[in-house]
Amino acid sequence: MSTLFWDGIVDFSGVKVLIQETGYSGMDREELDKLVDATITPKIMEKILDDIPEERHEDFLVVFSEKLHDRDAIFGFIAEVKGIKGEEVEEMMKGKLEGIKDGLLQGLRPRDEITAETGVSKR
Amino acid sequence: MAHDPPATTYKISKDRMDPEFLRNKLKLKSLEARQSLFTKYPYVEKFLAEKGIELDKIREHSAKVLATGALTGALILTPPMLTQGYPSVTEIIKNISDLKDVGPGNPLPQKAIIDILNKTLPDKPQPLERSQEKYLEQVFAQIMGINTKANLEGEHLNTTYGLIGAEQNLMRYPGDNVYDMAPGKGAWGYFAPSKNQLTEADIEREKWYAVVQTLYLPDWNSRQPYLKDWYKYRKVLIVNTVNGNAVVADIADSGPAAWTGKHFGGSPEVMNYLGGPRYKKGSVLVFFVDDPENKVPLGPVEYNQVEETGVKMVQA
Repeated sequence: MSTLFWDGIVDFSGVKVLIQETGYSGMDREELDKLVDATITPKIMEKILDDIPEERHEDFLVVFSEKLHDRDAIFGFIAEVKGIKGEEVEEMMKGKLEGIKDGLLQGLRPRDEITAETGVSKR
Repeated sequence: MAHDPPATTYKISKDRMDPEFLRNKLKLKSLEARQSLFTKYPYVEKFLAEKGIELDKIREHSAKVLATGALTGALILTPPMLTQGYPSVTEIIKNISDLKDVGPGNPLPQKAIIDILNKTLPDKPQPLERSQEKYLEQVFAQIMGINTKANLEGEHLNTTYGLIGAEQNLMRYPGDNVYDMAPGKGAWGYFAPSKNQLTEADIEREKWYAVVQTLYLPDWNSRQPYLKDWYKYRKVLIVNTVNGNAVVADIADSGPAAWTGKHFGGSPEVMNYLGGPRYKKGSVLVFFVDDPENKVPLGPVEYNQVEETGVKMVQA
């Protein structure tokens, strides 16, 4: 099993659909799946670090490196550092991941440029 | 970095996604994300490098951490301790046999399975201990009449207990066109080279296909092409842990991506049998079917109506 603490918190099916639309299968599709991981993980790490005091950053990195699959451990750490409940951490993470997902989706859709003045495609 | 002119807005293209466009965009996005993290917090890059963690191989690291944990757990907890408190399979079978009102359509064997799963499984899907898997193998053999193995010929999925999600139909041959069909082929290609060469076996394979995360197997890349051949159309027993519905499916695609939060996938027919037409996601057990003579048919396992060794499921 390969699990990361943020798996399944928000629905990334929009990204999945984009990847499916390529018609890729096998290793080509796996490469795209892995690139999604490689995008979301540093983003969520950055957002967590933004949110906790700098003196606890190293502690977070230790927990992350040893328990990156364990949502309870990661959320428990954040709850302890911020002095909030586990459920509040879950809600907070959900909000952060929704933002990451929206940003990802906006950046991934091919866009047909149109001018604001005319509304006509530049193509 | 170049920016678009301020007077430019966009509309979303409804065209099919260009693979190269998406790959390049994702590569760029992942690089930007990493760069942003490392620029703001330079010590993160140093820490990860010292620990040997690469962000683009983060799943591999997670799998290693989990495997190490499972091994430690296996060394600390001996098998008899883990199955203590579970009813013995013989006891379960006897309880079912003793009931006088067992008959066709009677849900008792299925209820027995549900009770066993409730007692045996952790609340959240996660890798099971070896002893738990051995116990479930006996349960499936005795009650459903299907010989299964969590570990078959030395191969084991990353987890036998996970979440399954609904998949689309797969293209059976070039040019195939059915409702709700994925735009691409499965990981093992088309089921047949052409419509004329499509056999009944191919049709059944597509109809009852399953998806497993071969891409995250720790030795997937190092043991090719053996593993790819071994998994191709490998039969698995999928059991809905909530209602006990079970189906034999064949592995015909790789996935789903772990970031979906799911561990397995099922064809529309598989999902419909497991949980009905609205069933899109749920917890399941997935075990390899031990079927060297290829006698176990794909499709639903209607074990409330089967007679098994030592168990009379149907009233005489």
